[in-house]
Amino acid sequence: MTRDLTVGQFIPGHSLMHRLDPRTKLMLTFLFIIQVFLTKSALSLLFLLLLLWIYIVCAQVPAQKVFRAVRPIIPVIIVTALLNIFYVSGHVLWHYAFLRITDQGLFTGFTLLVRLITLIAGCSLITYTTSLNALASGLEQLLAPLKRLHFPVNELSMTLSITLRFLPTLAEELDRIIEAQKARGAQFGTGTILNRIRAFFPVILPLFMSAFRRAFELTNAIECRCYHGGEGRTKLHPLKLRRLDYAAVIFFLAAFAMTLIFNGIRQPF
Amino acid sequence: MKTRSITLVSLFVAVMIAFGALPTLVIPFIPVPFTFQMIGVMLVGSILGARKGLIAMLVFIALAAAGVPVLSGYRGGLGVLLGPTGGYILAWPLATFVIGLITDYINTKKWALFRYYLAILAGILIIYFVGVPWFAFYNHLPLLGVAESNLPLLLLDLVKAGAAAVVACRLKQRLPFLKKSKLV
Repeated sequence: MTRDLTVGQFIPGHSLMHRLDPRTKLMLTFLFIIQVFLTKSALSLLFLLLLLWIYIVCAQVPAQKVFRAVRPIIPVIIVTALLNIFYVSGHVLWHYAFLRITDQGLFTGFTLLVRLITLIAGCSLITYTTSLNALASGLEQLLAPLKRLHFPVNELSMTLSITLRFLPTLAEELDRIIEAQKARGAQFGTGTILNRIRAFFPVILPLFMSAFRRAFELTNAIECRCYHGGEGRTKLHPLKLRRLDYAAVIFFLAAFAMTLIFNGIRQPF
Repeated sequence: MKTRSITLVSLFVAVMIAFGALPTLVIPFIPVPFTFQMIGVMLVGSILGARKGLIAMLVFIALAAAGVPVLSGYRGGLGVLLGPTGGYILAWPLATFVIGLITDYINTKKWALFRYYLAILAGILIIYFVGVPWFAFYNHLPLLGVAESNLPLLLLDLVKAGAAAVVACRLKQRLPFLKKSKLV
């Protein structure tokens, strides 16, 4: 259980993608998503797949890992691709009873398939190549301009770090409560559905009570030390943009332009 | 924000992540996965109240958007948020806020459990009202067909809402500090 709650799938390394600044990566991921949604023609779809392959090579992440990120949405992809193949109208290629496959349907299904896979796989690369702390501080810095609008950016980063610290605590506490209730004769995972639902309460209520106690102990500790996480605090590892970041931005913008150009060229679809 | 609010919000973001770590079930022919994270959404709204609940949910969404795999089934990233089932997830902050808003006004013990249940029900309906059209529009599918295929999920969510209402009701009646949710 404790192991299950370690969020983050960071794979340490020194690839090109690892060395990018987290802020650059967050912004470029955003650009990549817009690019995926703008992809329309067959040529640009193929180009998108090529780009995905280049990014995976640059990140030096094993292909299985990237596939594992895509796996949870495979049912979604299959169902929607099938529905599209059978329901979109167009030139009929094959039909049997009420089922008919059209060229347009086939193409729409294929487009969805490629778009979804590149979207999920591409976005998963950032988690594989960036540690949680780097992501959190990148997010904080990107949101920093919002301070002008009185958006509590410092409080946000404090919240993030406390949250990540709370996770192992919660898992530990959960294990302890389950053991304690078992010792008192509680049974888990047996009996009718109603019994299983009932077994949920003797665990979750004490879990919340002890979690609240922990939260207030932490509050007292923070307040006693006059910590506020706000103005004037410096960082141990300040983020800095390097030449590699500028090169990556130029590459992504060029790829974005290529997609638009490929969309424009006349093609069979 | 007071330090206590910050730690409470953090705690509930962690609770959301913990619910996401529970296994998901994919029911055949329904493209939207059944998740326990919905219980988290209901609890955040009904326990923390409108304002803190909304903040907790926004922080959670921000984490997901930054690519941390906090969503159920270890998913995460803008790709999922803007994907076909993203509507359900993006509706969570709104649903949390509404649940919180309604539960903040529950101050009698009479029929309290039923009141909490209704508040949570309102939140669930919001999630489906955003999620279903988003999914239909995204995949160019008929709205009614998608709505129909979501019915089994909605039924399961009604059961989850019952569990969440019991937890929220008991905690709120026992812990007086939770009632002052206006104090941020």
